[in-house]
Amino acid sequence: MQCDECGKPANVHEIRVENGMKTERHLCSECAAKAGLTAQEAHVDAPTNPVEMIKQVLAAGPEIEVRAAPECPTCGSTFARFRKMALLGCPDCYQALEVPMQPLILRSQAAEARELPEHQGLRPSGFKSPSQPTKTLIRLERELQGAIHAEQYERAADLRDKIRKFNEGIEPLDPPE
Amino acid sequence: MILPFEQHEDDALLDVVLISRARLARNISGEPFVNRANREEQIRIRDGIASALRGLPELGLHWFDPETAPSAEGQVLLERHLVSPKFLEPGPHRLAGYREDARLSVMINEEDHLRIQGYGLAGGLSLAWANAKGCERLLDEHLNFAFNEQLGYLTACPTNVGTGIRLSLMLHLPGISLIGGMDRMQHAADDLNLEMRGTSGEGSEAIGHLHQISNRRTLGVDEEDLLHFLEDDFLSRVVREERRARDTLLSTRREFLDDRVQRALAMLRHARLLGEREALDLLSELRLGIAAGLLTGVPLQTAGQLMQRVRSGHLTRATGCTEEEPLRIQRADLVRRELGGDSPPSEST
Repeated sequence: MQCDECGKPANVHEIRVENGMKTERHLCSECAAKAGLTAQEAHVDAPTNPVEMIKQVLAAGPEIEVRAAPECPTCGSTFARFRKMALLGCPDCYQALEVPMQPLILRSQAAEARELPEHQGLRPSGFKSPSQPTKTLIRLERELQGAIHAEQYERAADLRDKIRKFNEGIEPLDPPE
Repeated sequence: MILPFEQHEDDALLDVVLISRARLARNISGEPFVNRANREEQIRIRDGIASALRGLPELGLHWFDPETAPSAEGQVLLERHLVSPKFLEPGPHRLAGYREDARLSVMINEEDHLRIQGYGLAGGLSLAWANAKGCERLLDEHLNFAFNEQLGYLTACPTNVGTGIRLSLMLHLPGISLIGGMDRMQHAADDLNLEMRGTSGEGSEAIGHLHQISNRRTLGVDEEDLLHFLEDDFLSRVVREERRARDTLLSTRREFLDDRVQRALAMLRHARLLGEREALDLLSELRLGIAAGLLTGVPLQTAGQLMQRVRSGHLTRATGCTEEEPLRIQRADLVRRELGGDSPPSEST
């Protein structure tokens, strides 16, 4: 996809929904920076801390989504590379390329299920499970990203509300900063 | 952790099952996968895993470095199913470890940083799993494997993510094949989310009526549940069907079956030149004849072992021959010797 402004390859995509009307802008990094949209701001595809990730989504406002073309921040692999090689570049690719990868994993692993099943079986002996609230937040955020990707904006808005309520609910549980 | 390498195996399924294997895929946390790793990273990953394995003498591993070892040695390991065809392709800095009794092997820097393979013989899937798991749990104390709560063990190809397990059975199915039941078998396998393929892995042909069956799904299914499904449910059904097909052939087309078996035996006892594919196909018929009770005097194990010993890598190691024509002569000599055929041709001028 080309940049709407200069014709270079676009890697920042803005989707705006206002009063039920959707508009899209596709820009290269330079034009996106000029327009005040940077991949840095739009880091929602490759978050590391789940709570931070939710805050970023909330901070982006209820009606604007800005998403960078997914690229693994650790090894630089893209979804295009995966499609060519059928191999990911590093363990972090699973998170960085989660949105385009998820339907493929679902199809190959659990075609009959609507969402990815959770891992069952052996685990590293030193592995500490995240707390239940964090797991719920991760799940809701995953569903939100899926809904945005599938352009199901009503469902995305519902999920965002759920996340906000959940986040407000668990905030008192977090230790004071 | 006690590894059950010496456990006695039940051979009740020997007429149908040749090899049971359990493979686990693992990667080192914080390192790029093999396909993305540069030379330095590949060496670091290889040496880190090898060092952990060398610290576990109870595994009893011998080492094979494809960069320095003779290629015939790699071919023998391939024919024993201890390494994969992909492992022997020129590529990243790799290393394999294996037990001489073929109960365990590890491949470093194949598609994933580490592939652990446990083996059992006939119906020994539980044993195969116990061997692979035992090795994995020992390594777990020394290596930090890439893992996350939702997706489990993270692998280079998402078709392995989760448990990273591939349980596979090599089955000898001449009965089902001869009564034209392979398509139905293929559909049944598809319905159960199982992969069915030829002897040498993906996309390969079924030589000698040998078929490899393995699980497709690796995420959201506990290893033990998968094992019980494959062993107690699927395998028992296939064995029943294969035996029923052999019985049907015996009762309705006994001459047809007997003719195939006796021709195969005659060829094997008298041939002076045998190609690998031809020998495997004939030995498959022989194996069927023994299992169906049409042949006595040749143990089932002998036919099974010959199916490995006639492979080119094994013959090259045993005889030193590498050229095709002398190998065909050696193969025919070996088979005649083992099956009580006539003596080798006299050296007439």
